[in-house]
Amino acid sequence: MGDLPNSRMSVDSSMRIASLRYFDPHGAFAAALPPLGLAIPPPLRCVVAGSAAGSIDILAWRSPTETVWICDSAARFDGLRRALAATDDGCLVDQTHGRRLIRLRGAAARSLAHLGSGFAEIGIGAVRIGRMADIAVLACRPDAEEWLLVLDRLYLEHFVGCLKTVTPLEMNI
Amino acid sequence: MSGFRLPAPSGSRLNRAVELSFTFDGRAHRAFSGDTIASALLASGERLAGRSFKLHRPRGIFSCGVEEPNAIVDVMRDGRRHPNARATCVEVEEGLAAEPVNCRPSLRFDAGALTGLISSLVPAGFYYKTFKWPSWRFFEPSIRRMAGLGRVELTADRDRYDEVNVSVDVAVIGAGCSGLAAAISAAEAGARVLLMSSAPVLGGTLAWADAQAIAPLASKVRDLGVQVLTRTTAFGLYDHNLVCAREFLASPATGAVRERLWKIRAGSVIAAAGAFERPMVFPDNDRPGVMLAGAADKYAHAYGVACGRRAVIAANCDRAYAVARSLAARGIEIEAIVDRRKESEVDAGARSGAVAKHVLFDSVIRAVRGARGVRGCAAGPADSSGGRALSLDCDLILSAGGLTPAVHLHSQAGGKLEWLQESAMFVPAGAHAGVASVGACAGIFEREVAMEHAAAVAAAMVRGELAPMLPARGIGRSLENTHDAGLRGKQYVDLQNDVTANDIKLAVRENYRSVELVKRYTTTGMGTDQGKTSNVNAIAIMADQTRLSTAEVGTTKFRPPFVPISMGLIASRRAGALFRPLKRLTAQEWHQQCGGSFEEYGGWWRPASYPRPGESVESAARREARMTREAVGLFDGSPLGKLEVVGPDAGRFLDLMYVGTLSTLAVGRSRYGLLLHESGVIADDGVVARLGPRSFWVTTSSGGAERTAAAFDEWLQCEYPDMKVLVTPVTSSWDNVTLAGPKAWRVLEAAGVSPQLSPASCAHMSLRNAVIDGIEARVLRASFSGELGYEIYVPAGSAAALFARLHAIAAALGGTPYGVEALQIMRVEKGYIHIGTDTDGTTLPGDIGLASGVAKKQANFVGRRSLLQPASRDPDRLQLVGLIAADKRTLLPIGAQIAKTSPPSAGEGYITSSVHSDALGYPVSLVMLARGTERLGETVRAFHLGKPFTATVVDRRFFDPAGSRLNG
Repeated sequence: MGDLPNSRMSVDSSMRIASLRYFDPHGAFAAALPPLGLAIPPPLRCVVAGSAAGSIDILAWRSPTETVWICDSAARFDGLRRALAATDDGCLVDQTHGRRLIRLRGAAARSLAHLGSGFAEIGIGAVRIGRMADIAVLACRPDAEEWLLVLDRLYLEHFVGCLKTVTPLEMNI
Repeated sequence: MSGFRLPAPSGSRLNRAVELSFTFDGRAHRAFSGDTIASALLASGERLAGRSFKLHRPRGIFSCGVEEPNAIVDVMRDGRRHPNARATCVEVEEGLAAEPVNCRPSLRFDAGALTGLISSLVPAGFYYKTFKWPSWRFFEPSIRRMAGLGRVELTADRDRYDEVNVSVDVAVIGAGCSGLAAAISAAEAGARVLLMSSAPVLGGTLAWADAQAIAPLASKVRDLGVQVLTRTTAFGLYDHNLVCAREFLASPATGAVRERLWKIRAGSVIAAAGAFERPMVFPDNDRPGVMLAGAADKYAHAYGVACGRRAVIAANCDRAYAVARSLAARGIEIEAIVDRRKESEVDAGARSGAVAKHVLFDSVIRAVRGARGVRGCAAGPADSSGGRALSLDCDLILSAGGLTPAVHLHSQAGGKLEWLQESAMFVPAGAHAGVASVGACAGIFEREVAMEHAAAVAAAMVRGELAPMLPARGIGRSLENTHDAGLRGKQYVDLQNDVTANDIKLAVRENYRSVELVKRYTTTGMGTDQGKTSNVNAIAIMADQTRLSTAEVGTTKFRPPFVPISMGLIASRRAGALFRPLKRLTAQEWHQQCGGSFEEYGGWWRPASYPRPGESVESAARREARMTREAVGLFDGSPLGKLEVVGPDAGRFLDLMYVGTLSTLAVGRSRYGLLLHESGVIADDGVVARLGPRSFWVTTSSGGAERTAAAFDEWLQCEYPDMKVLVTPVTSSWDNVTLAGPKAWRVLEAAGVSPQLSPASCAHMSLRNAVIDGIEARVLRASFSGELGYEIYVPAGSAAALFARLHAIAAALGGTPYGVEALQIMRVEKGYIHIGTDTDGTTLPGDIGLASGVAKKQANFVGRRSLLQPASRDPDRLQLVGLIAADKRTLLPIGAQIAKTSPPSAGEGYITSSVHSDALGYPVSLVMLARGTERLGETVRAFHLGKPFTATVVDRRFFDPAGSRLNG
C-alpha cells in the first residue's frame, strides 16, 4: 500500500469543526445557511460547500438534527458562528477542540475495512457513522480521492495505533 | 524420501524442487513444498501420530482435512507455539517443529497408556459417577494433568492477527466444482462475489482428482473478477448473513500477519462445503494404519504418498470400489474389499472392474492385528453367526462408510435437516432465508447435476428469487449402522474422545434419550473435531438402542466455530496498548512532568497522585490532600462529563430529568442535580448551570457522561418528542482545571483574573465567563473537596498551559497538584457521595440524605412515581452514614459487611469508601447501613475476609460539617 502514489494519511489539526444543531432541517436555522454558501445535506450524504481550490468546507449529515461542518477558514467559521447566534431554532456548537479530523487519500483508505464493518466501502458523497476500531467515527468521502474521518480527540492515540497496525504508511500527525 | 512417496504425476500439490526439513516428536523429517505435516509423516512411513485423549491409545493419521481426530500437534515456528493444530491441515515450513500432544515422556513411550489397563473401569460417565467424594476439586488437578491436548504458551502471543470487513452480494463457501459454478453464475449475473477455499488451491476434490476439469473454471472465476480467498475457512454463519472466516497467510515473514479474520456481510450465502467420509465401526478400528478411504486416495493423488502397500477396504458404499481402483492404479495392492452390504445392495456398475484380491459381501472386519501399526485383519460374515473369518495380511485398512454432507453452515443459519435413508446421511431440508446449500453438502454428488444446480441457485439468489430446490440424491445404498454388537473388542465411534459403541449403549441404558445429553454424557462429538467423523455413527447406534429411527434421534445443534480458531484471531489487533480505547487528558504530558502516577479510572488514564521520592501513591495522596486543605491544590477535572442543552424547552426538560428545579436558575447560577432512573434509583449527579435564557451547561460524573446524554436523548425521543431541546455532548471539547483550597483565589488573583471572580463577588455555585492568562474560560465556583473551589473550563488543549501558569503561582503559596486519590480523601472527609462507589443499583435519593429535595418538588420528574411507592420509604432501607473504627486507627476495609455475627449471617450493610484522613487525624469510612441515620453513636461490627472490626456509626460529615471553608 505504501508504494502506491498519492496514498497518504494525516491528522489535520488545523480544521474548525462544529455541530450544527437544529430542530427542523427545513426550518429557520436551515434557511439561514444558504446565504452563507452552506446547506444541510440529505441524510447520510456530505456536500462540499467551498469553491476555493484546495480549501476544505464540508457539511456531513450526522443525524436528523445535526450536521457536522468541517472548515479550514477561521474567519469563515467565526462569521458563521456570529450569523447563527441569532437564530432560535438551532445552534452551532464548536467542537474544534474536541474532535479530530483524519484525512486519507488513495489506497490508504483500504485500511478502513480492517477497522470497522460499515466502512469497507464508502461511495463518493456518502457518510458512514459507526464504530471503527471500537470508537465512534463519522466517515465521509467528499470526492474520489479523499476520505475524512471525524472522531473524538480522546481516542486519537488509540485510533492511530490501530491504523498503524493495518497500514504500513507513516502517519503525518 | 522413503518408499512411501509415489512418483510424479502423483502429488499435484507438491513442488518437488523445494525440499524442506522439519521435526516431529524430536525426529527430523523431510518434506516437499506443499506437503502437510501429515502427508510428510506418511511419506516417511511414520505410523504413530498421536495418543488418544482418555486412554492414551496409539493413534495414526486418520483423515486428510479438518475432520482429523487423531493427529493433533503443537506447532513451533520461530520459537512460537501454536497449540492443537491438525497435522492434516498445517503446511510444512522450513524449520517447523511439531510436537504430539497428550503424551509423556514421548509419543512412543507414553506413561499414560497404562490407563488402558483399567479401561474397562472407565466407561461413559465415569467422571460423574466416581469423583464425587470428597469433591471434584480434589481430583481435578491430577486429572487435568493427565488429560488434555496441546500446551498453551504462558507468554504473550507474539503473532500478529488482522481483521477485515467486507460486504458482498454473494459469498460462496467452498471452491469445489459446485462452488466454482455458483461463483461464476453469480458473477455473470453482475453480483460482487467472494469465493472461499480452505485449500491453497481452487477445485476441492477435483483439484487433485481431475485437475484438467478445474483449470478452466478457476480461470473463469478470476476473469470475472470474483474475489478469491484461499487457505480460508468459514467457521461461522451468524445473524443477517454475517460470515466469519479465518485466513491463514502462507509463510508470513516474522512480524507479519499470520491469520486474518474476515467478517463478511453477504446478501446471499451459498454453502458448497462438500462432505466428510463416514468411518466404519469395527473392533480396534482406531489402530494406526486404519484411516478414511478418501483420505488415502487424496494422499496418493495430491501429495504423492502411499499410505500403505497393501490395503483392505471396509466398505459400506459404492465409493469404496472407485477408491480401490484409484489406489490400485497408483500401485497400492488391494487385498480385499469387505463390504457390509449384501451383494444385491451394491451397484453393479460401481463394482465393475474390481481390483481387489477378495471381495466379501455382507461381511465386516472382525479383528485388527497390530497395536502400533496395522499388520492384518480378520474379516467374516456380518451377522455374528460365527461364520469363518478370513485372515488378511495388510498394513492399511481403509474405512469407506459413506458420506456425511457438511451441513454445518445450513444448520447454523437455522435450517432444518432431513434424513436420507437410502444413503444414510443428513441433508438440508430446503433453503433458508438468504442461505442455500449446493453440491455435496446438499446431498448432490453427481458433478454435472451439482454444477448445474449450483449455477441455477446462484443466478436465482442474485435476482432475489428463492433458490431452486433439487432433492438430495445421495450416493446409492449405505447402511446406517455399521457396528456389529456381537464382535469382541473396542469399537470406536469417536476417536478423539475414546468413545466406543458400548459407551453409547451404556448411556442409553442409563436412560439418556436425548442426543444432546448423550453427547455431553459420553463426550462423543466433542473436542477439536466436533464429531465430524463420529456423529452419524453415534446417532445410528443410539437409534438402534432406543428403537427410534435415526431421523427421530436427530442431530445435535451445529454451532460455530466449524473449526477451532485461535484466541488471537478473535482478539485481532485488540492486544497490549490497543486492548481497548483509553481516554487521554490533553495535559497528560504536564502531569507526567509533575511526577503523576497514572491509573485507569472509568476508562480515563488519570494521575492517581504525584509521588515525590520515597512516597507511595497513598502517602502522596495524603500529602496532597493535606496541602490542599492548608493552602491550595490543582486538579485535572477534564473527565467530568459536559453537555450543552439548548432550546426553548431546555429548562422545562431539565426539570423533568433532575430531582431539583432548574428552570428557575438565573443566568450565571448553577445547582446540584440528581438524575434518577424510572425506578427512582440514582443514575448520576452533577451540576447544572444556566448559560443563557435558553441554554444550559450540564456537568456529569466522569463516568456518567455517555449514560446521561443517552438518557436525555431517550426521554426526548420517546417521551417528550414535542419538546424543543438539543443535547450536545461536549466533554472532549473542554478541559477542566480545578483550583481548591483556602488560597485558591490568591492564585487566580496573582494570575491577573478579574476581581469579579473573588469569593466576595462570585458566590458559591456561580458561573462566570473570564479570560485567564489569555485563555477564554468558563469559571464555576463549585467544590468537591469542601474547600473554596474554582472549576475552570477552557477549550480542550489549553489545560496544560493553564496548569503550568497556575502551578507556578500555587507552588509559591505551598500548593500542589493533586490526583484522584487525594480527591477521594477530601470528598469522603466531607461525606460527599461518589456515584457508583457509595451508591449501587438500589440506592434512592432518600438513602443518601436527599429525601427533602424529593419531598419539596411537587412537579413531576423521572423516578418520582417510584419514590412515592411504600417500598421506597421503607425505614429499614440502607442509608449512607459515617463510620469510624473503635480504635480510631484502623482503616476499615471497603466492602466489609456490617453484621451482628460473623458471616454467614444477616447483613446490615457494607462499607463503601474508606480513607486515611490527615485533616482529622484518623481514618474514616462511609457505610450503607440499615436505618443508618437512626443509629448514630451505635457500635457495630464489620467483617471482612473472616476478620472482625468494631466501629462507631457517626454523621458522615466528618470535616467542616458547617461548610464554612467553601468560601475560603
